[in-house]
Amino acid sequence: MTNGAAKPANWRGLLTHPVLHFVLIGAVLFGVNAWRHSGDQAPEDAAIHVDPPRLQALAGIWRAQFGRAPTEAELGAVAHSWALEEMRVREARRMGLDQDDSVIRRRLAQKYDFLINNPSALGQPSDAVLQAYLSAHADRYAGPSRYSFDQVYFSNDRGPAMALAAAQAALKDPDHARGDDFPGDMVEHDVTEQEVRQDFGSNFAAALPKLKVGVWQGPVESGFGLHLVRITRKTALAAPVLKDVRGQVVADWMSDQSSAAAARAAADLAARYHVSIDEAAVRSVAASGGAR
Amino acid sequence: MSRKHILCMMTSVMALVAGGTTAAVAADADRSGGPTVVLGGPKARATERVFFGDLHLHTAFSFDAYLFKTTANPDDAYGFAQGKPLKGPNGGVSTIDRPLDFLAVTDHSENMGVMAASGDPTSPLYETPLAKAARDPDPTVSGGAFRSIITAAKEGRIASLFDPAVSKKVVEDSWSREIEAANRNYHPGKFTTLIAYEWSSMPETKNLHRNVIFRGATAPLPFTSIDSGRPEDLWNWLEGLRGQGFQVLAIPHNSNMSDGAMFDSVDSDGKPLTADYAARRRRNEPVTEITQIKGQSETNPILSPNDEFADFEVVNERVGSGIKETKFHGSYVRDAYRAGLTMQESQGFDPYKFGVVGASDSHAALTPTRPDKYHGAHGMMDALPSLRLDCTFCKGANDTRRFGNMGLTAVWARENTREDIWDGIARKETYATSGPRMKVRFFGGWNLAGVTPGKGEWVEAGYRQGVPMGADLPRQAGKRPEFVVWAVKDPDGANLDRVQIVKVWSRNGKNDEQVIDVAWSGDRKKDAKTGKVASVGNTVDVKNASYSNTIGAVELKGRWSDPHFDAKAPAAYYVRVLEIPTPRWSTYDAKVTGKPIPDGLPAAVQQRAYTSPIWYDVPGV
Repeated sequence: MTNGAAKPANWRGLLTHPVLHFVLIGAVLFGVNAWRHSGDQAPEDAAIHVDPPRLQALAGIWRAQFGRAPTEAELGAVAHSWALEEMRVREARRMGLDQDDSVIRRRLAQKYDFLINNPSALGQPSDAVLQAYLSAHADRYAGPSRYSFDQVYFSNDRGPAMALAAAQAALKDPDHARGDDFPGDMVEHDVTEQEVRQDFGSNFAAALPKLKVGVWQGPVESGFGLHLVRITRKTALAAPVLKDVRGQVVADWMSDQSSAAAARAAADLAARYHVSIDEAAVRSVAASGGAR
Repeated sequence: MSRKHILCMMTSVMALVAGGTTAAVAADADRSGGPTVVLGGPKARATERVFFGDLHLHTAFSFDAYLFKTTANPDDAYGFAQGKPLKGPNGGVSTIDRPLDFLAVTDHSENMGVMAASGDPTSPLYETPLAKAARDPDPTVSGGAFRSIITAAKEGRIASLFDPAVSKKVVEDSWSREIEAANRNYHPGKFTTLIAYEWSSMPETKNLHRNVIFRGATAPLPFTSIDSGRPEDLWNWLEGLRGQGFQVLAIPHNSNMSDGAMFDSVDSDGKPLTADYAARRRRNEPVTEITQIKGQSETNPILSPNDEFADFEVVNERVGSGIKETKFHGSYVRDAYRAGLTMQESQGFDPYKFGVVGASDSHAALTPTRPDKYHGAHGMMDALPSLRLDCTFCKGANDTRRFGNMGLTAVWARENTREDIWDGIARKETYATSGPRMKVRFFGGWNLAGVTPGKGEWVEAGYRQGVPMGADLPRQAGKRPEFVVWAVKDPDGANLDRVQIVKVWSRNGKNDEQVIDVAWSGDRKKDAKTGKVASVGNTVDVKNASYSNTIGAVELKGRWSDPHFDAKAPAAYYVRVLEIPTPRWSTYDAKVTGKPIPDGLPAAVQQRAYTSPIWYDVPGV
C-alpha cells in the first residue's frame, strides 16, 4: 500500500522537477531549430536519379529542338544540367517560391485544362447511345419542311410605291394578275426554307411558314420586290433513321459530351471551392488606381 | 491501272459532265502543245443552280491560325458553314447568317497540326521555344513566333522547326482527321465538303500559295512546300496522282502579294515559258482566286489607270510582312490574261487561260459573310472591332485594316455534290464575289438571237446557241461575237449599280484592255465622250453605318456585241458586276467603337462579282 501510495507522489514530483523542465525546453528549442534550418541538412528527397525514361524524354526534347538525336556527351551534359535544375527546383519549392508566381499558376491551369478537356477520353458511343441521342433531338435531324407555291411578282425595279400599288390591285384577282418575270422559278416545287432563303431572301423565307395553304396571300416582301403567294403544298418530313444521319449524330454527341465534361469539371471545381471576393476591397483598390 | 484504263475512266467522267454532247478531248488544243485534256470537257450542260461556298479556310491545324489563338478544328469549321454556332477566339459566339453550300478546309500542309499538338504537355514538342511562345497568352509573343516561322519559310527552314520524327506522325494523324472531318460533314444535295489543303510556297515572302482540292473521298498525304517550293514540282505530283485515279486541281491565290511571281513571264528556273509549261499549268490550275480577305487580285489603279473601279480593296504588301510590292505585272489576273493572250498570239500558247473563284482565307475557322457582322479572320489578332481599327497586333506583319472582309466562290452546277461542284470549278463555270451572293449568268456566241436574259427558256437557249462563262467561243470564222449577261442582286444585300464587260486582247504583240458598261440601273445615259455611265450615287450614312436600296436595280440584263472585234486578235471577255456603295466593315467597326475611321480607308465600297472569261482564239493556221 505504502509503495502504491508513494508512486503518484513521485510522478507528480517528477513533473514539477526543474530538470525535466530544462530537458523539455531544450527539446523544443532543438526541434524548432531543426525545423528552421531543415534546408541546411541533407533533405529526405536528396536522391536525384536521372533514369532511362527521363533520359528518353530529354533526348526527345533535344531532337525537337535541334532536329537530331543528341550524342552521348551531349545527353550526359543535358542530364547533368537537368539534375542541377532539379536541385534548384526542389530548393525553390522548399522555400515556397512556387507560390504566387503568375507564370507557374498559368502553366498549371493550362496543363489542367488540357487533361480535363481531352476528347479522346470519350471513347466511341454505342448504337444504343446514339439512338437515344437521336430520339432526344429528333427535331434537329428531321428533314426540313418543304413548300410548293405559285406567285405573282412585282419588282422593286418598278419603284417600291408602284410595286406596292400593283400588288394590291392584283390581290383582287390573283389568278389573272400579270406581274413581272421573277429572276428565278415562278413556280416552286418542294423547296426547303433554306432554298427559298437563297432565292428570295431571308425576310421572305421567314414569312413562308406563317402563310396558310391553298389561298392567295400577300403582298409578301422579298429581297427583290413584292409577291402574292399561294402555297399549294406543305410537307413536313418524318424523322430520319440513325443510319442516314449517323455521322452527324456521332459528331454532335461528341461535341455535347465534350461540352458536358467541361461543364462538369467546372461545376466540380465550383463545388469543392468557396470563392469569396472582398467586394469592398475591390472597390477601394480600384478607386485608388491599384496603387498600394 | 493501265494508261488506257485511266483514259477510259477520264473520258467517261468528262462525258458525264459534258452531257455526252461533245468530245472529251478539247478542240481548243494549244497549237504546239498537242491536244489538251481540259478537265470537265469544254462544253457544259445546262446548269440549274448557282452554289455559293468558300474554297479557302484555316483551322487550328494550320500553324499560323493556332498562333493566332484559333482553337477550332475542321469539324467546327464545317459545322459553322452549315449554320452551327461557333465560339470564336475572342470568346464571342458567331453564327453564319446564311449557311454555305460548300466548303473546303485548306489547312497549311507544312507541319499540319504540329503547332497545335505542341500544346500537349505530354508531347516532346511541348518544351520547344516555339511551343512556349505559341502558348503565351500575350498575342505579341505568339505573333513573334508567327513572324519567326514566316522568316523560316522565306529561308526554306520550315522543315527544321520541329523534330521530323515527331512531326511526321502528327502530320499523318492530322491529315487523316482532315479527311474524316470532310467525309463526316458531306451531305450530298445539301452541303458539300471538299478534301483540300494549302501548299504554302513563299520564296522571299513572294506568295506562290496554292490550294489543292480533291474531288473524291480519299486523298494521299499532301505534297508540301517542304518537299518543293516550285509550282512545277507540285504539278508533277498532281499529274502522278491523276495517273493513280485521283481527280485533283490546284488554285493559286493572292497573286497580289506575289511581287510579280505568280503570273511571271519565266518559269521557276528563270527560263522563258513554253507550250509544255502552258499546257501543264492549265491542266493543273483551271482557276485562280481573284478576291479574298487579303485583297483582290483583279487589277489595281497602276495597271488599269482608265478603270475608275480598279481602286477596290487593294493590298500592296507581301504576305505575312509589311514589305511593299514593287512589281505589279505578274501579280494581277487581268494583266495575266493580257500577257497570256500575247503569248497565244505570238507563240501559240496561253499559260494564263484560267477562270476565277473567290474565298475567305479566314484563319479563324469561320467564314465571314457580312461586313456588318465582321468577326475578323485572324483569330485573336483581329477578333474585336478595336483590335482591327487600332491594328493592335499589326507590327511587323500586314496592315489588316487594308484587308477586305471576305470572298465567295459561285459555281453553276446541277446538284450540290462533290462531283458537280468540283467539275464546275474544273470547267471554269464559276464566278467570284467579294462577299455578296448575287447571281450572274454570262453567255457568248456568234448568234445569240432569241437568247433573251430572264425570259422563258433563255438559259437552255444560251447553252444551245452559245457557251457559258469559262468556255471558249466555238472556232468559227464569224462576224462579231455576241454576249448576253444577266445579274440579280443578293436577295439579302444591296441593289446593283451596273454590269460591265471587261475585254482584254492582243494584236501585233501588244495587249490592251477595255471596260464597257453594258447594263445599269435607272435612266442614266452613257457619256458621249468617255462612253462611261455616271456614278450611281451613294446612300451610305457613315455615322450610322447604313445604306438604303433606294438607288440601283434588282435585276440587270444586257446584250452586247463587240464593235471593235478583230478576227486576228485573240481576246478574253469577262463580266464585272458592281453593287451600289455600302459601308465597309471598318465603317461598321467605327460605329460600334465610336472611333474614327482610320486614315486612308474608304467609308463605303462597291462590292462586286467577277466571272470567268469567255475566250476567243484566232482560228488555227
